[in-house]
Amino acid sequence: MRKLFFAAAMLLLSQAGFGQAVNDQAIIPVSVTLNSILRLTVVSGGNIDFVVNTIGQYTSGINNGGGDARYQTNFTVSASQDFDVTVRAEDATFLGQDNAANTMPLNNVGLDLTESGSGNDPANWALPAAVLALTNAAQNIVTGVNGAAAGGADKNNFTIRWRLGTAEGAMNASSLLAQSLTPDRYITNVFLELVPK
Amino acid sequence: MACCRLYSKVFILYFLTLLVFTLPFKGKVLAQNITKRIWVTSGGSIAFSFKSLTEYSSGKVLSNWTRLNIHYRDTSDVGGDGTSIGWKVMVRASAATIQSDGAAPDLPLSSIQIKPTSTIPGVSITNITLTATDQNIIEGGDPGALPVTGEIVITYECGTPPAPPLLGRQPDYYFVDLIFTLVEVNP
Repeated sequence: MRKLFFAAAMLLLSQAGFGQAVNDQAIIPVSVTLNSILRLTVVSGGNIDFVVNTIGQYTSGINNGGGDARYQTNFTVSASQDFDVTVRAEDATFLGQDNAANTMPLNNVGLDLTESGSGNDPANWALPAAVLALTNAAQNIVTGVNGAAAGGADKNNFTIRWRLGTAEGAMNASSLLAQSLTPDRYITNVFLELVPK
Repeated sequence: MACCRLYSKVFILYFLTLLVFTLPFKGKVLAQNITKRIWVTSGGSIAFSFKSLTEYSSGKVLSNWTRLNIHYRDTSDVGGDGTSIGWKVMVRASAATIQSDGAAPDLPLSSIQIKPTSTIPGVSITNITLTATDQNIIEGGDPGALPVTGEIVITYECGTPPAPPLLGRQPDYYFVDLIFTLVEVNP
Protein backbone atom coordinates (compact mmCIF):
# COMPACT_ATOMS: atom_id res chain seq x y z
CA MET A 1 0.00 0.00 0.00
CA ARG A 2 2.75 2.38 1.00
CA LYS A 3 4.68 1.70 -2.22
CA LEU A 4 1.53 2.35 -4.17
CA PHE A 5 1.14 5.78 -2.55
CA PHE A 6 4.76 6.63 -3.29
CA ALA A 7 4.41 5.57 -6.91
CA ALA A 8 1.27 7.69 -7.31
CA ALA A 9 2.95 10.72 -5.73
CA MET A 10 6.02 10.43 -7.96
CA LEU A 11 3.82 10.09 -11.01
CA LEU A 12 2.07 13.34 -10.17
CA LEU A 13 5.28 15.19 -9.46
CA SER A 14 6.90 13.97 -12.63
CA GLN A 15 4.39 15.96 -14.67
CA ALA A 16 5.59 19.29 -13.35
CA GLY A 17 8.87 20.19 -14.95
CA PHE A 18 10.91 23.39 -14.97
CA GLY A 19 13.50 24.20 -17.61
CA GLN A 20 16.01 27.03 -17.55
CA ALA A 21 17.90 28.31 -20.57
CA VAL A 22 21.65 28.41 -20.17
CA ASN A 23 23.69 31.40 -21.34
CA ASP A 24 26.45 29.63 -23.14
CA GLN A 25 29.91 31.09 -22.74
CA ALA A 26 33.38 30.66 -24.15
CA ILE A 27 36.40 31.88 -22.21
CA ILE A 28 39.70 32.78 -23.87
CA PRO A 29 42.78 33.73 -21.88
CA VAL A 30 44.79 36.73 -23.07
CA SER A 31 48.40 37.38 -22.16
CA VAL A 32 50.61 40.34 -22.94
CA THR A 33 54.34 39.94 -22.51
CA LEU A 34 56.38 43.11 -22.53
CA ASN A 35 60.03 42.27 -23.07
CA SER A 36 62.56 44.81 -21.85
CA ILE A 37 64.40 46.76 -24.53
CA LEU A 38 67.37 48.85 -23.32
CA ARG A 39 70.05 49.69 -25.87
CA LEU A 40 72.72 52.38 -25.65
CA THR A 41 74.81 52.73 -28.79
CA VAL A 42 77.93 54.87 -29.10
CA VAL A 43 77.69 56.07 -32.69
CA SER A 44 80.94 58.05 -32.84
CA GLY A 45 83.60 59.44 -30.55
CA GLY A 46 84.29 56.23 -28.72
CA ASN A 47 87.83 57.31 -27.99
CA ILE A 48 88.58 60.89 -26.95
CA ASP A 49 92.22 61.97 -27.05
CA PHE A 50 93.33 65.40 -25.81
CA VAL A 51 96.91 66.33 -26.72
CA VAL A 52 98.25 69.34 -24.83
CA ASN A 53 101.28 70.76 -26.60
CA THR A 54 101.14 74.55 -26.30
CA ILE A 55 101.29 76.92 -23.35
CA GLY A 56 97.97 78.31 -24.52
CA GLN A 57 96.40 74.87 -24.16
CA TYR A 58 98.03 74.49 -20.73
CA THR A 59 96.52 77.77 -19.59
CA SER A 60 93.14 77.86 -21.37
CA GLY A 61 92.44 74.17 -21.96
CA ILE A 62 91.05 72.46 -25.03
CA ASN A 63 87.56 72.73 -26.53
CA ASN A 64 86.17 75.51 -24.39
CA GLY A 65 82.47 75.71 -25.20
CA GLY A 66 82.46 72.14 -26.51
CA GLY A 67 82.00 73.01 -30.18
CA ASP A 68 84.87 70.98 -31.66
CA ALA A 69 83.50 67.74 -33.13
CA ARG A 70 86.82 65.96 -32.52
CA TYR A 71 86.01 66.02 -28.81
CA GLN A 72 82.41 64.86 -28.99
CA THR A 73 80.78 61.49 -28.37
CA ASN A 74 77.50 60.80 -30.07
CA PHE A 75 75.28 58.09 -28.58
CA THR A 76 71.69 56.96 -28.95
CA VAL A 77 69.27 55.20 -26.63
CA SER A 78 66.51 52.80 -27.61
CA ALA A 79 64.38 51.92 -24.61
CA SER A 80 60.95 50.45 -24.09
CA GLN A 81 60.70 52.15 -20.73
CA ASP A 82 61.75 55.44 -19.21
CA PHE A 83 65.44 55.71 -18.40
CA ASP A 84 68.36 57.70 -17.07
CA VAL A 85 71.90 57.72 -18.44
CA THR A 86 74.80 58.02 -16.06
CA VAL A 87 78.49 58.61 -16.63
CA ARG A 88 81.45 57.66 -14.44
CA ALA A 89 85.16 57.12 -14.71
CA GLU A 90 86.61 53.72 -14.03
CA ASP A 91 89.39 55.08 -11.83
CA ALA A 92 89.62 57.71 -9.10
CA THR A 93 92.09 59.70 -11.20
CA PHE A 94 93.63 59.61 -14.63
CA LEU A 95 96.60 57.26 -14.54
CA GLY A 96 99.91 57.92 -16.27
CA GLN A 97 100.89 55.41 -18.93
CA ASP A 98 104.61 56.11 -18.80
CA ASN A 99 104.64 56.11 -15.02
CA ALA A 100 101.71 54.70 -13.14
CA ALA A 101 102.58 56.89 -10.18
CA ASN A 102 101.63 59.94 -12.21
CA THR A 103 98.02 60.94 -11.77
CA MET A 104 95.79 63.73 -12.97
CA PRO A 105 92.54 64.74 -11.22
CA LEU A 106 89.41 63.60 -13.08
CA ASN A 107 87.82 67.02 -12.76
CA ASN A 108 90.19 68.43 -15.35
CA VAL A 109 87.85 66.85 -17.85
CA GLY A 110 84.38 68.29 -18.18
CA LEU A 111 81.31 67.49 -20.25
CA ASP A 112 77.93 68.76 -21.21
CA LEU A 113 75.25 67.37 -23.53
CA THR A 114 73.23 68.41 -26.51
CA GLU A 115 70.36 66.55 -28.15
CA SER A 116 69.75 66.08 -31.86
CA GLY A 117 66.81 63.67 -31.96
CA SER A 118 63.09 64.34 -31.96
CA GLY A 119 63.02 64.39 -28.16
CA ASN A 120 63.78 67.52 -26.24
CA ASP A 121 64.78 68.92 -22.89
CA PRO A 122 62.70 69.33 -20.73
CA ALA A 123 59.69 67.55 -22.27
CA ASN A 124 61.32 64.12 -22.53
CA TRP A 125 64.41 64.30 -20.34
CA ALA A 126 66.58 66.78 -18.50
CA LEU A 127 70.18 67.35 -19.58
CA PRO A 128 72.82 69.03 -17.40
CA ALA A 129 72.31 72.76 -17.28
CA ALA A 130 76.02 73.44 -16.72
CA VAL A 131 79.30 71.72 -17.48
CA LEU A 132 79.88 68.70 -15.24
CA ALA A 133 83.25 67.51 -14.06
CA LEU A 134 84.11 63.87 -14.67
CA THR A 135 83.94 61.88 -11.43
CA ASN A 136 84.53 58.35 -10.25
CA ALA A 137 80.97 58.24 -8.93
CA ALA A 138 78.10 57.88 -11.38
CA GLN A 139 76.20 61.05 -12.13
CA ASN A 140 73.15 61.55 -14.31
CA ILE A 141 73.72 63.12 -17.67
CA VAL A 142 70.25 62.24 -18.98
CA THR A 143 67.37 62.24 -16.51
CA GLY A 144 64.26 60.80 -18.12
CA VAL A 145 60.84 62.35 -17.58
CA ASN A 146 58.37 59.73 -16.38
CA GLY A 147 56.03 58.71 -19.16
CA ALA A 148 57.95 60.61 -21.83
CA ALA A 149 61.49 59.27 -22.12
CA ALA A 150 60.98 55.84 -23.65
CA GLY A 151 61.52 55.65 -27.36
CA GLY A 152 63.92 54.88 -30.15
CA ALA A 153 67.24 56.22 -31.41
CA ASP A 154 65.47 58.77 -33.58
CA LYS A 155 64.14 60.37 -30.44
CA ASN A 156 66.96 59.80 -27.95
CA ASN A 157 70.07 61.06 -29.74
CA PHE A 158 72.68 62.77 -27.55
CA THR A 159 76.11 64.26 -27.95
CA ILE A 160 78.60 64.59 -25.11
CA ARG A 161 80.90 67.55 -25.56
CA TRP A 162 84.15 66.90 -23.76
CA ARG A 163 86.70 69.50 -22.73
CA LEU A 164 89.99 69.49 -20.88
CA GLY A 165 91.36 72.12 -18.52
CA THR A 166 88.84 74.85 -19.40
CA ALA A 167 87.63 75.39 -15.81
CA GLU A 168 84.01 75.59 -16.94
CA GLY A 169 81.13 74.81 -14.60
CA ALA A 170 82.09 72.22 -11.99
CA MET A 171 85.51 71.54 -13.52
CA ASN A 172 88.82 72.09 -11.76
CA ALA A 173 89.20 75.85 -11.43
CA SER A 174 92.99 75.67 -11.74
CA SER A 175 94.54 75.51 -15.17
CA LEU A 176 96.66 72.54 -16.19
CA LEU A 177 99.64 74.86 -16.06
CA ALA A 178 98.87 75.93 -12.49
CA GLN A 179 98.59 72.28 -11.44
CA SER A 180 102.08 71.65 -12.82
CA LEU A 181 101.19 68.13 -13.90
CA THR A 182 104.01 65.78 -14.86
CA PRO A 183 104.03 65.24 -18.62
CA ASP A 184 102.65 61.79 -19.40
CA ARG A 185 99.86 60.05 -21.31
CA TYR A 186 96.94 59.95 -18.87
CA ILE A 187 94.06 57.59 -19.43
CA THR A 188 90.92 56.19 -17.85
CA ASN A 189 87.81 54.47 -19.15
CA VAL A 190 84.48 56.27 -18.98
CA PHE A 191 81.31 54.24 -18.59
CA LEU A 192 77.99 55.34 -19.98
CA GLU A 193 75.23 53.38 -18.28
CA LEU A 194 71.59 53.12 -19.29
CA VAL A 195 69.43 52.78 -16.20
CA PRO A 196 65.71 51.91 -16.46
CA LYS A 197 63.49 53.92 -14.18
CA MET B 1 -0.39 -3.88 13.28
CA ALA B 2 -1.47 -0.63 14.89
CA CYS B 3 1.85 0.82 13.87
CA CYS B 4 1.21 -0.15 10.25
CA ARG B 5 -2.17 1.54 10.31
CA LEU B 6 -0.61 4.69 11.70
CA TYR B 7 1.97 4.68 8.92
CA SER B 8 -0.77 4.20 6.33
CA LYS B 9 -2.68 7.21 7.65
CA VAL B 10 0.42 9.32 7.61
CA PHE B 11 1.14 8.39 4.04
CA ILE B 12 -2.42 9.06 2.95
CA LEU B 13 -2.18 12.50 4.52
CA TYR B 14 1.18 13.06 2.83
CA PHE B 15 -0.22 11.98 -0.50
CA LEU B 16 -3.22 14.31 -0.23
CA THR B 17 -0.94 17.22 0.68
CA LEU B 18 1.23 16.55 -2.35
CA LEU B 19 -1.86 16.31 -4.51
CA VAL B 20 -3.11 19.73 -3.39
CA PHE B 21 0.22 21.47 -4.06
CA THR B 22 1.07 19.78 -7.34
CA LEU B 23 -2.33 19.80 -9.05
CA PRO B 24 -1.93 23.33 -10.40
CA PHE B 25 1.13 22.18 -12.35
CA LYS B 26 -0.37 18.98 -13.58
CA GLY B 27 0.34 18.44 -17.25
CA LYS B 28 2.42 21.66 -17.58
CA VAL B 29 6.05 21.80 -18.66
CA LEU B 30 7.56 25.23 -18.16
CA ALA B 31 10.56 25.48 -20.47
CA GLN B 32 12.42 27.96 -22.62
CA ASN B 33 12.98 26.08 -25.85
CA ILE B 34 16.23 27.85 -26.57
CA THR B 35 19.32 26.01 -27.58
CA LYS B 36 22.50 28.07 -27.33
CA ARG B 37 26.01 26.89 -27.78
CA ILE B 38 29.19 28.81 -28.43
CA TRP B 39 32.52 27.09 -28.64
CA VAL B 40 36.09 27.80 -29.68
CA THR B 41 37.33 25.88 -32.68
CA SER B 42 40.77 27.50 -32.84
CA GLY B 43 42.72 30.36 -31.29
CA GLY B 44 41.68 29.53 -27.77
CA SER B 45 44.62 31.36 -26.26
CA ILE B 46 45.83 34.84 -27.16
CA ALA B 47 49.45 35.82 -26.52
CA PHE B 48 50.89 39.20 -27.42
CA SER B 49 54.67 39.36 -27.08
CA PHE B 50 56.35 42.74 -27.53
CA LYS B 51 60.03 42.46 -28.35
CA SER B 52 60.96 45.42 -30.54
CA LEU B 53 60.48 49.17 -30.32
CA THR B 54 58.45 49.05 -33.52
CA GLU B 55 55.99 46.70 -31.84
CA TYR B 56 55.91 48.89 -28.76
CA SER B 57 55.20 51.97 -30.88
CA SER B 58 52.80 50.52 -33.43
CA GLY B 59 51.16 47.71 -31.47
CA LYS B 60 50.54 44.12 -32.49
CA VAL B 61 47.76 42.51 -34.50
CA LEU B 62 46.65 38.88 -34.37
CA SER B 63 44.59 38.61 -37.53
CA ASN B 64 41.73 36.12 -37.70
CA TRP B 65 43.07 34.52 -34.54
CA THR B 66 40.04 33.04 -32.80
CA ARG B 67 37.34 31.04 -34.53
CA LEU B 68 34.12 30.71 -32.56
CA ASN B 69 31.21 28.59 -33.68
CA ILE B 70 27.68 29.21 -32.53
CA HIS B 71 24.43 27.30 -32.63
CA TYR B 72 21.22 29.08 -31.69
CA ARG B 73 17.57 28.04 -31.95
CA ASP B 74 14.41 29.24 -30.27
CA THR B 75 11.14 27.40 -30.76
CA SER B 76 7.76 27.32 -29.09
CA ASP B 77 6.45 24.22 -27.31
CA VAL B 78 4.84 23.04 -30.50
CA GLY B 79 7.88 23.65 -32.67
CA GLY B 80 6.98 27.09 -34.01
CA ASP B 81 8.81 30.41 -33.65
CA GLY B 82 9.92 31.12 -30.11
CA THR B 83 9.41 34.34 -28.22
CA SER B 84 12.90 35.80 -28.69
CA ILE B 85 13.40 38.41 -31.39
CA GLY B 86 17.04 37.75 -32.05
CA TRP B 87 20.35 36.74 -30.59
CA LYS B 88 23.73 38.32 -29.91
CA VAL B 89 27.28 37.51 -28.94
CA MET B 90 28.80 39.68 -26.24
CA VAL B 91 32.31 39.91 -24.85
CA ARG B 92 33.80 41.29 -21.66
CA ALA B 93 37.04 41.05 -19.71
CA SER B 94 37.16 39.05 -16.51
CA ALA B 95 38.83 41.92 -14.62
CA ALA B 96 38.96 45.70 -14.66
CA THR B 97 42.55 45.75 -15.97
CA ILE B 98 45.06 43.53 -17.73
CA GLN B 99 46.74 42.32 -14.60
CA SER B 100 50.45 42.27 -14.02
CA ASP B 101 51.92 39.01 -12.82
CA GLY B 102 54.74 40.94 -11.17
CA ALA B 103 54.85 44.25 -9.42
CA ALA B 104 54.32 46.40 -12.50
CA PRO B 105 51.24 48.62 -12.76
CA ASP B 106 48.39 46.92 -14.63
CA LEU B 107 47.67 47.71 -18.27
CA PRO B 108 44.34 49.31 -19.18
CA LEU B 109 41.77 47.11 -20.91
CA SER B 110 41.55 49.79 -23.58
CA SER B 111 44.90 48.49 -24.88
CA ILE B 112 43.01 45.65 -26.57
CA GLN B 113 40.62 46.00 -29.49
CA ILE B 114 38.39 43.23 -30.80
CA LYS B 115 37.37 43.15 -34.45
CA PRO B 116 35.03 40.31 -35.45
CA THR B 117 33.84 39.05 -38.80
CA SER B 118 31.27 36.38 -39.48
CA THR B 119 30.00 34.10 -42.20
CA ILE B 120 26.49 34.15 -40.74
CA PRO B 121 24.27 36.10 -43.13
CA GLY B 122 22.40 39.19 -42.00
CA VAL B 123 24.27 39.86 -38.79
CA SER B 124 25.34 43.22 -37.45
CA ILE B 125 29.05 43.42 -36.53
CA THR B 126 30.66 45.88 -34.14
CA ASN B 127 34.33 46.47 -33.46
CA ILE B 128 34.95 47.22 -29.81
CA THR B 129 37.57 48.32 -27.33
CA LEU B 130 37.70 45.86 -24.46
CA THR B 131 35.96 46.73 -21.19
CA ALA B 132 34.87 44.79 -18.13
CA THR B 133 31.20 45.05 -19.09
CA ASP B 134 29.50 43.06 -21.82
CA GLN B 135 29.55 44.65 -25.25
CA ASN B 136 27.77 43.33 -28.33
CA ILE B 137 30.05 42.26 -31.14
CA ILE B 138 27.59 40.25 -33.27
CA GLU B 139 23.82 40.69 -33.39
CA GLY B 140 21.43 38.59 -35.41
CA GLY B 141 17.72 38.97 -36.10
CA ASP B 142 14.92 36.53 -35.34
CA PRO B 143 15.52 33.35 -37.35
CA GLY B 144 12.00 32.08 -36.64
CA ALA B 145 12.01 28.45 -35.74
CA LEU B 146 15.10 27.80 -37.81
CA PRO B 147 18.51 27.25 -36.24
CA VAL B 148 21.37 29.69 -36.62
CA THR B 149 24.79 28.14 -37.04
CA GLY B 150 28.00 29.64 -38.24
CA GLU B 151 31.44 30.90 -37.51
CA ILE B 152 32.73 34.11 -35.97
CA VAL B 153 36.36 35.00 -36.68
CA ILE B 154 38.03 37.49 -34.40
CA THR B 155 41.04 39.73 -34.94
CA TYR B 156 42.75 41.13 -31.84
CA GLU B 157 44.85 44.26 -31.63
CA CYS B 158 46.99 45.36 -28.72
CA GLY B 159 48.56 48.79 -28.40
CA THR B 160 47.39 49.96 -31.84
CA PRO B 161 45.83 53.39 -32.37
CA PRO B 162 43.59 54.78 -30.99
CA ALA B 163 44.64 52.69 -27.98
CA PRO B 164 47.54 54.14 -26.00
CA PRO B 165 50.93 52.72 -27.09
CA LEU B 166 52.67 50.40 -24.67
CA LEU B 167 55.97 52.25 -24.98
CA GLY B 168 57.08 53.25 -21.51
CA ARG B 169 55.19 50.42 -19.77
CA GLN B 170 57.17 48.23 -17.45
CA PRO B 171 58.33 44.86 -18.79
CA ASP B 172 56.22 42.10 -17.25
CA TYR B 173 53.71 39.34 -18.00
CA TYR B 174 50.13 40.61 -18.05
CA PHE B 175 46.96 38.57 -18.30
CA VAL B 176 43.16 38.70 -18.44
CA ASP B 177 40.36 36.43 -19.66
CA LEU B 178 37.90 37.24 -22.41
CA ILE B 179 34.37 35.95 -21.79
CA PHE B 180 32.21 35.51 -24.87
CA THR B 181 28.50 34.98 -24.20
CA LEU B 182 25.72 33.97 -26.60
CA VAL B 183 22.32 35.20 -25.46
CA GLU B 184 18.82 35.59 -26.85
CA VAL B 185 17.28 39.01 -27.40
CA ASN B 186 13.87 39.18 -25.78
CA PRO B 187 11.14 41.59 -26.80
